[in-house]
Amino acid sequence: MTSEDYNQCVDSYSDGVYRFILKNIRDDQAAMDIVQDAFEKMWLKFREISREKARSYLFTTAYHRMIDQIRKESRMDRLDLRFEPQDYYHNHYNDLKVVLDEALQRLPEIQRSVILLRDYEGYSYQEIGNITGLNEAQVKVYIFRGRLALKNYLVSIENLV
Amino acid sequence: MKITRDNYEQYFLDHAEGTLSPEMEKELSDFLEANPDLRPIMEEFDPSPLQTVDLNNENLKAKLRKYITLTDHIKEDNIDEWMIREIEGLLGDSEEKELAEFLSLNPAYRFDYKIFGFTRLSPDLSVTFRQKIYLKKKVVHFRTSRLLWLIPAAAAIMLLFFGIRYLSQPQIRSDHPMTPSIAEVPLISSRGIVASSKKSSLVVKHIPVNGTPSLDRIQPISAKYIIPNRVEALSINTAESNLYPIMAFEKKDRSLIGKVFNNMAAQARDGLGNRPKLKKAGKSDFSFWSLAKAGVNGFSSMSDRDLELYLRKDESGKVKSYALVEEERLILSKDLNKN
Repeated sequence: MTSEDYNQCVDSYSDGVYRFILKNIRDDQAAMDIVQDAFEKMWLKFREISREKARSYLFTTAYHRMIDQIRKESRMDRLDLRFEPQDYYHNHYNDLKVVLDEALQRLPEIQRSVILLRDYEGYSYQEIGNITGLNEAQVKVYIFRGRLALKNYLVSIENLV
Repeated sequence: MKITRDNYEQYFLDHAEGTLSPEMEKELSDFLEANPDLRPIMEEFDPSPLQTVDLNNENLKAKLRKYITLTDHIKEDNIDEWMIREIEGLLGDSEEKELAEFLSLNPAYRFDYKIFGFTRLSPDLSVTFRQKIYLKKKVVHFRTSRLLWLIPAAAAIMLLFFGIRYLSQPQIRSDHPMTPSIAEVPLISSRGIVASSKKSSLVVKHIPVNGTPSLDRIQPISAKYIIPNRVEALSINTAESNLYPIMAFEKKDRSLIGKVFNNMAAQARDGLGNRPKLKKAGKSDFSFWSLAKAGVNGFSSMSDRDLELYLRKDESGKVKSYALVEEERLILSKDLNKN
């Protein structure tokens, strides 16, 4: 990959990586830091990375950096702060997107990540496995469980009344 | 009338499922006319297309369904899997037809199918990374092959310029510990006039030596390069007089360029390396990379840029990789082991 290719990757993939990380951790500043770290790492090795694998490299790097970030911080505390049961979201349950977003955040991190990679970026199971370090069968299982959990959350009466 | 306010739910459900007889349908209609407040409740049970848009109604129906018509492969315990596979695009044509058939036979499951459709996420494209500009790198349109020619060319120019200057203007280092006892050697001009001049670069010192000084410290021939007009060569029998010259050039510059020039001058005085040297020049000083570094420095000063060439060597001193940096920004780098 050349430096021109690298700059094209910034244009093409930075938004996607940022959206993926932001949807996972819901912290704008931390998401921007993770994206920046991923691109800095790619810049250090950009001559060794082929143009075709640049996108996968970015998502993989950002994903692992995000996992490190989540492990460092007390995730439960953060989630508690975000989702006070009677606050903002309660008044917006009639908005399906908000409910879906809420449901997504309640998924285990790995299920959320594989679904986001699948739906946001259109990755194949194999590619998702490469990014997350899972095999293809595990990816399918997590996607299945994730979608089922999302559906069950959406149909639960307390979220729709 | 069988329908009362205590049992109307079962008739509403039968009506929704289409299992009421015509007589009971009429009775239900009469009941609703008598109890109009219950009509909205019954409409919740109504499976007509206009009402299926309401999630609440659909949800209630899904909870109330009892009978499932099975197809060849789709059963109650695997219908979720089929729906997810459909969302994932994993169903073949025949499987898609079978799922459609199942949904037509079991309309209550259309709600589940619809909800599964919602679980397919779509990105919010209005969310973008705002700091792209800081991630981008300045692209330098250098061709490596051209740069490889440019570096030694610049180095050669610099060497030529400073080398001539050093050779033509040698100076006695005043702070050398031996300086006070240095005796000036008369210059021999072309007209045979013996003159003393402080410009002479050849200095000799009478040093009591036990035994003959080693030849590598005696460099009478170097006088040929230093005496003006060099008409008459200075001949000093160093073995007899116990004289040996000390070539002491002022070290104006301790940088790599300065070292290179000093070594070059020493080599010139020593007969281009065929004779023993005053100072043994390090191999690396005259390597391609030394020249490259000097060239980059020269190019940098000429073009008013801040380029620096960094080298990474292995244990044997062989260059493994190099990087060209400008103001702490990587311009290019190359791992030589890769090729």
